[in-house]
Amino acid sequence: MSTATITVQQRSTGPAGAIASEWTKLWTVRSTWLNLVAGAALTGLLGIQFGFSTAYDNAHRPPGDVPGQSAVGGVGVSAVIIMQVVVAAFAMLPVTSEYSSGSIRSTVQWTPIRRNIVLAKAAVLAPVLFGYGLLVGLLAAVSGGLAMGHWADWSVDTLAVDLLSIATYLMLAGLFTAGIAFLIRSTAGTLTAAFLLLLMIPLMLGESSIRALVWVSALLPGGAGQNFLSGNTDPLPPTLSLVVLVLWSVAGLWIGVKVLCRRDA
Amino acid sequence: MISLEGLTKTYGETTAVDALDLTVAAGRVTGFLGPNGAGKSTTMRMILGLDAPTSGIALVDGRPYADWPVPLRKVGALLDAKALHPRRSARNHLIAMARSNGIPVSRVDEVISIVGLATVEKKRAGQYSLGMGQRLGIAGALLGDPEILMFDEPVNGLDPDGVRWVRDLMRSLAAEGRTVFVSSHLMSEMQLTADQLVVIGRGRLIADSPISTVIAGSSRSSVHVRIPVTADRAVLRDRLAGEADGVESTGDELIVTGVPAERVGDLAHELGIRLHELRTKQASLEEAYLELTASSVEYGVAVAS
Ligand SMILES: Nc1ncnc2c1ncn2[C@@H]1O[C@H](COP(=O)(O)OP(=O)(O)O)[C@@H](O)[C@H]1O
Ligand SMILES: [Mg+2]
Repeated sequence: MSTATITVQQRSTGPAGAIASEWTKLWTVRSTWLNLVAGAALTGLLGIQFGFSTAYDNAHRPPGDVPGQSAVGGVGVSAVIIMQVVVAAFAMLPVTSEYSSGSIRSTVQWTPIRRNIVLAKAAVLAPVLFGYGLLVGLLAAVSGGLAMGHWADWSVDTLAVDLLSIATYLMLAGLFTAGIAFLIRSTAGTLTAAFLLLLMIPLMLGESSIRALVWVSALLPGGAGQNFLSGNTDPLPPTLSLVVLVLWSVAGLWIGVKVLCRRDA
Repeated sequence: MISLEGLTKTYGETTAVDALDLTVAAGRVTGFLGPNGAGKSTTMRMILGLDAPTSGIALVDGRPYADWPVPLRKVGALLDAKALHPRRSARNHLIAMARSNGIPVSRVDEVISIVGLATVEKKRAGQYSLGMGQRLGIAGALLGDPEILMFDEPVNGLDPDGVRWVRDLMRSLAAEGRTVFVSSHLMSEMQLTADQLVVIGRGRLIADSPISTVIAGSSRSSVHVRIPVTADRAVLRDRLAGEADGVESTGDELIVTGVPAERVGDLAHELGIRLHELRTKQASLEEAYLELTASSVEYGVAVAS
């Protein structure tokens, strides 16, 4: 029978319990691992592609134009801007899969202080996304660097800064996506929103000749991310682009807390 | 103990739960009965804070569920057995649940063996049959060794052995002094399981009484008297008319409602009437239930959910 043979503690585990639970949930579904493998494979391929095209461009310059070497971390940046959608999917699945399966009701039952659910998911995702960023950044840099051959600049300092920037960006973009996933709930809807806000709209507006649109792009999460990663100073310096990104992820998570607390589970 | 005060939930035009006042006591099985759409699941969701009441309050041991520091230790519940990630194994599902409330993983193994899922614990929960899913849900309800247990239609999808097992489990949980609150839209199961019966229809409380009272209190509980002499029948019938709810005559038999058999026998003796038979016909709980919910059944069927 179910008679107590355990002493279940009476003291609240608070957010710590919720975090431990979210950690367990993240690593006990196969989609997490598949996403990591897919993300790593895609980045490796993108790295090779960017590396070869850099090498080709450098080798086919007009006479007299002698290009210097390219930092391998730059390949990481280029690759990540494309593959970030895969990372966004990684970040939103712990939320949207709970809505599609109905398991959000179990989660709310286990952790009735709903703010802690959003915070726990964010607390688990943050370091994992950061590590994911370091991993894919390194993969792109190495595969790209090898493909570039003697055009590659392997200097460790630059590479380290690039990798940390990539990891920071993917972490913040992922947290933003996880936050709005609570609002949108569906996997397809959240992925579409992330694709538009992180990649498409900034890509389209960023190159605009209309100044206002350049500003709009710079203030959206994806545009701020691109400017931060590529070290652009126009229209905002990288530090301010980073601030914009942080504000977006805080806002996304705040929206997540608000809607989760307000709605019936 | 669960207490509800004026608990109300409306979804747009629909009033799912309508000013429910109720206390569910410890140490017994309280059956929560009502036709489909009566508001049982909604009530249970509000007790767990999954749905916010439109008005009124639901408390467990005097506090809202969410205010308990270790909620799974206070209330274990099976509301929706499908509320889990279909591609996570049953065991990992329970481990995640245990960790959320600081419950040791050893307890997961215990509840898995209690519900008899040890051989399939590595299987993905989505591949479970309905009955296995219910067992997994029950394992989750037991996980925190809680004082209060709630089960929403727990025998759905179980085979007869499983049904008997659930019935025994509920009875023993109540015998251990726990509060057991179990819903069903079928009377037959409650008859064997519940001590106390709470009946709702259209979100309103229809009855809240010990199961024996529900049967006895039903007008269908009747006394049958066979009297061979026609004149005697008329005499007893006239004598009873004042105190009985109803007296019907069919053949040599009188069917009396609202008066116990003892009283009918005593009266016959006083009047010197010879009887060939005197017996009480118990209304089955099913009949009592149908009578209680007669007004809401039509509605219940119309919105069957
Ligand atoms: N989320 C919801 N949105 C709208 N109506 C609902 C919702 N949940 C339940 N209802 C309605 O509330 C009433 C009570 O439903 P429910 O609590 O599921 O009844 P029961 O569990 O007794 O069958 C029904 O009319 C149902 O259609
Ligand atoms: Mg129901």
